[in-house]
Amino acid sequence: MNGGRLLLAARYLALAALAVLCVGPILVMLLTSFKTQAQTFTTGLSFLFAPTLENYRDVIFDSSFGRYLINSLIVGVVATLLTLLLGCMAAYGLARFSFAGRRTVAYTTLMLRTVPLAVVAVPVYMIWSDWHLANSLGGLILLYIAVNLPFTIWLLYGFVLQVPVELEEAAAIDGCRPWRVFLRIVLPLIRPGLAAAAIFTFRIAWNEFILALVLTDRSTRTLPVAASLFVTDIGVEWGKLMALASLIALPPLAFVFLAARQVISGLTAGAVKG
Amino acid sequence: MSAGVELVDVTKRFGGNTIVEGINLAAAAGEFIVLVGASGCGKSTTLRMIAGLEAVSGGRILIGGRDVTAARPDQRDIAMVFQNYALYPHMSVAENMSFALTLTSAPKDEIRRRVGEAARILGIEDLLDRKPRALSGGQRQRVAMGRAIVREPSVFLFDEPLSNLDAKLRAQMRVELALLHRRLGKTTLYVTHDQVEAMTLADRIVILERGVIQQIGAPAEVFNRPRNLFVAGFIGSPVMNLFEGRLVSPDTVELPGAQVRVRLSATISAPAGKAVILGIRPQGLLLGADAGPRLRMRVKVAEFLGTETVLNGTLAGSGETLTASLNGDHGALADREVELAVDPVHTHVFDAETKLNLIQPEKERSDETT
Repeated sequence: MNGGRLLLAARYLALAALAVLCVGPILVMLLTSFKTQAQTFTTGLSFLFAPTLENYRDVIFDSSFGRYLINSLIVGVVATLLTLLLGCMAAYGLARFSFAGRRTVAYTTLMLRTVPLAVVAVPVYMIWSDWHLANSLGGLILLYIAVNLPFTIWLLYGFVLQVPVELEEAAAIDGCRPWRVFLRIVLPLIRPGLAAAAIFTFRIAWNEFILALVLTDRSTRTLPVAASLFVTDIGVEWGKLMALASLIALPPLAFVFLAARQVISGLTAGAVKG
Repeated sequence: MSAGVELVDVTKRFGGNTIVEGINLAAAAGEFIVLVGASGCGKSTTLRMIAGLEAVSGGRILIGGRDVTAARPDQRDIAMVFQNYALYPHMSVAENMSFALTLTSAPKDEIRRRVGEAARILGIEDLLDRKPRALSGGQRQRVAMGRAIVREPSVFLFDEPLSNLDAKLRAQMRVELALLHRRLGKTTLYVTHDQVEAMTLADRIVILERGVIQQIGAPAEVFNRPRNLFVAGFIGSPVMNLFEGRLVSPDTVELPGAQVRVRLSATISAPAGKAVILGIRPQGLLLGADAGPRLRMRVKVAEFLGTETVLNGTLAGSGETLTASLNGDHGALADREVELAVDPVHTHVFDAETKLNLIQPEKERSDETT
């Protein structure tokens, strides 16, 4: 019994350590965002200081903040929607139709995702400049779709495969044409997959820095790029940087909390003999 | 309205494999046809071709006299019940049942009336608001049937609808299916590998093997007059005993191994000495009967089933497997040797080469079954 308790204690200790590793940096970010520049250096990691909202006021009321926020929202939402739209259709096609090269496509799709983003930044900039897509939100959205599509297809492919073919056949007998089968039967059943893919895509499009840094200018900048502006030649404005970082972290967090139920719920339970 | 179904030379090939070969079948309006056979015999493929879920490689399919070979599933006036129910998990029972009607934009009152009527027939009125995952296997099965009934199709197709249920529920649903068919009077094509379902539900049974129809007939007909060795071995439980033998006279077969001569119920017009296969139903072996030739059986296992006892063992002399089904409790016969008389009515003779039943068709009393 003692050994069992010891093991349990060790397990909780390990979990606590992991939690500290995860939550620690976020906590430091939040603390720092409420400190003045002087406090950042004098108080260290201490909780004991007089908090200030000055950093948030400066960041939010900065004349450009609104524009950067809207840019980020447009890029995040549009890239996510288009990725899901293309991804679910591609996944369905791969899972259900037979055509030359289907297996190859299904198996190699994910390989594209292994290419580091920083590697493609410069070539893409050159191509986008040529096509007049550089420094535009459209160009950035297009790139984020390309980056996220492989994973989305791969993820949704697995979800489509889990939908029993008999459901589609029953729908066909009930009078559904292929498009209707897809919209009325398949899409509702892969909702958990769509939610997971949406979280993944939105998170990348919202947080991504390297490509956004290379491919945007003063008017098309997204929030992560804007945050980097607090690192200047004369020093780092830690308080403002952390305040903006905290604001940037909020939407993905809220998004995950909202969609988590969708991801977890086993929607297909009861479709076939359980 | 009920409509007949006709298959004319229907063939299905996948790549180089022929799954269904030139099937011809005419189901009259209102008839209950059961397609039966082992796994992979093409019975489900045949049903799927009738449903329009599988394209035919050759031949024609007619429903109600209309050629539907190239028609979409929803244009064939059929409804299908799948083995795994195929209920839409994201819809309630009522939505599942009304889905087809909502697609045709039928009036809401009409949809409500038909769903209510089907739910009443199947006793699932209390379940209409539930999702499929909150239903038991039997309830799901009922909803699947309800979904088919609501559409008021001309033809019902069932693809092994009871095979996911436990034995008790299966027996109950079988009775309900029979009652439902009597009530609705719709043409029904039913696929199963369970011969009890086939024997109890069918007006006519279609026995398939390797995509070829072996026999079509009423349950009593295929049981009493199996056309060939395959049908003889497939229909009937326990399985018919089969022994290699030799025709010694038009009505007598000798089993060389057991050194026994067995009298037949009919005469056979084949030369004496012809190699044949003698089939004896386990129910045709009688304990303690005085007359006729006797088989000596070494009983290994005696299974008492309540009203009968199934003896499993071997034929003394030849060592061939032998099964006998006796009325009453004979559990004490295990590990003993018994003598069994053969009732000629339960004997069948098959050509050892062609595997066809050699007993002449004119002796058959087929009128009795219709």
